[in-house]
Amino acid sequence: MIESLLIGLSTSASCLASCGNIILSIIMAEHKSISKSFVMLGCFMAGRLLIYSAIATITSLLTSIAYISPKITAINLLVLGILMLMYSIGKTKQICLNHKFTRRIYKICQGQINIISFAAGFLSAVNICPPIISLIGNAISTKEVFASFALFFIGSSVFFLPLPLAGAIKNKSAVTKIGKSAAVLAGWVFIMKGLTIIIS
Amino acid sequence: MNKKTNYWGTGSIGKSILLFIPMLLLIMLMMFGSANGSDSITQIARLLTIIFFGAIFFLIIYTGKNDKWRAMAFVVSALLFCISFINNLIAERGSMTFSNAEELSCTIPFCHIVTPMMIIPAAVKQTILFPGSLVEGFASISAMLVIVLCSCIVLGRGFCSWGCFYGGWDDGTSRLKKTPVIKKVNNSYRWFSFAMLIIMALWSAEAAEPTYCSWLCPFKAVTENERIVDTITLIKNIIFTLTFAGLVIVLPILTKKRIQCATFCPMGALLSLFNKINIFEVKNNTTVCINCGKCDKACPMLAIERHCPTITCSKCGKCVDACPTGAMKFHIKGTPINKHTTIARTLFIYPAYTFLVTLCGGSVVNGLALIINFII
Repeated sequence: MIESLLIGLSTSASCLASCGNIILSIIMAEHKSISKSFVMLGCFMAGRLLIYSAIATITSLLTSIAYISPKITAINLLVLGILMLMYSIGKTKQICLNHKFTRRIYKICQGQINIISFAAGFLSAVNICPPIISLIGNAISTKEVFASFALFFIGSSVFFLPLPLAGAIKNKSAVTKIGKSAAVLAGWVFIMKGLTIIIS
Repeated sequence: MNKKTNYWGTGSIGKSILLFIPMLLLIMLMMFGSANGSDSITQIARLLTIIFFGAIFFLIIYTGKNDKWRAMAFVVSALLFCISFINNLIAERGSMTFSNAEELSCTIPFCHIVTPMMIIPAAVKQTILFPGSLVEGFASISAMLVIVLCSCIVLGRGFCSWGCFYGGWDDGTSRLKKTPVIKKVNNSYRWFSFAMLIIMALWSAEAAEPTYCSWLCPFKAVTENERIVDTITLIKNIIFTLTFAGLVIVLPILTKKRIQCATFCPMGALLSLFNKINIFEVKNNTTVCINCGKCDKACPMLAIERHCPTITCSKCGKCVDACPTGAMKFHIKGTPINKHTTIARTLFIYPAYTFLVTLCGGSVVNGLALIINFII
């Protein structure tokens, strides 16, 4: 069981590299207090936890590694990319106030940031990455599937914990602009990843 | 421009020559120190390079104008670097492109723009992402990292205007038109490069490749790029060409700003952070400033806000030249703003110019030799 925690800890940096850009860009773009930033991170993590619970349930039922079609992964990446792009558009008043559709996105983004964080966490966890595959193998061998997933989740969350501190950076104007730009770029990256899978 | 004679040479021929001689000796040492190429054409090219860099340095010191002469050396260096680099690639590989086999054999010359993408994998996984040689051959990883680290400490973001062998491209194109077509460029766009730094550093760590170089770098269009073997490499090459055409050619011409360097380059963002610890800065003496806004208009890096240079200042000196009252000055942190400004300028220009000659001198010699060969 302890192996699951170690897998999570050892791959935490990879998790931060692949999913950290999403929540970091949201935290920076919002630039709220550290406690509110932690709530956003909590919602993001809750999204991830929900997917991990679902995978744990499937694993315990099937007792094998479930095959996920690359097409599903690609579509998921495209949806995640579009979500990030919509979010960044929604955060930009100048664009939003000129058009009915974008004005609606702007209104959604204004009030529902925790839901957006949750959705982003949910979508980012759907991608079955190598650490998850090794975890599933370990969980099946130990026959403690849920506990293994829980420990992996704790271990892999360690590197995410300092991210809300971005809310403490003083230059609000610069941080929010960097956050919005990072959300655009993160969206572009996920769309490119999805398209790459589809093309190849 | 105030041309009064002072202790550090500006405006005085004799004192300018005294300041010029050590730099000339340094340039000669660098040019003749290399054993490569002893044929007569290379020797002529070396001599021309020494004259060129020497004359530019003398003019910077003597006239007191920073940007005009710096840009001349900077732009010529960038163009000749690319000519020389492409020629080397064609001589060694037969083309500008590299294949998977060359990538696997780790023979790709290291480029400083990769540095921000190497930090996280090196710190967390003890892995070097770049497919280049660690110590051997042309532009090895360790040699280039030492130069980049030194420049970070000595120049801060000054490297972007004095050392970077790509920066001369959009510095040059931004000067092609006398007046900009797009007159107002929002200074906030400069923060985009920081977003680029964050996303590229994280994405590279995840993808285990320098993603900016693999997917976005505009200068791939004029140096080396991946051989087109499938749809993905075709898309990558289209992106390189479009970013080069858009960010290095079209937008700098239309705006008279260095759009690629100011808003897109992740290395520039990283170097901006080093501006915080660098002792040199460009500072506005607010007691002399008349708020005319000429510095804001002149700055090609979108780095001046309310007449004060910000963290992204590349110390090119254009605002210093544009300031009608001399309020904008090179300055050493911790010293009084209105004293020793010429000393601060000279102390900055010496290492900055040394970096330019160190990084680009060899390429300028090779490029000139090629041009002379071509003419003859």
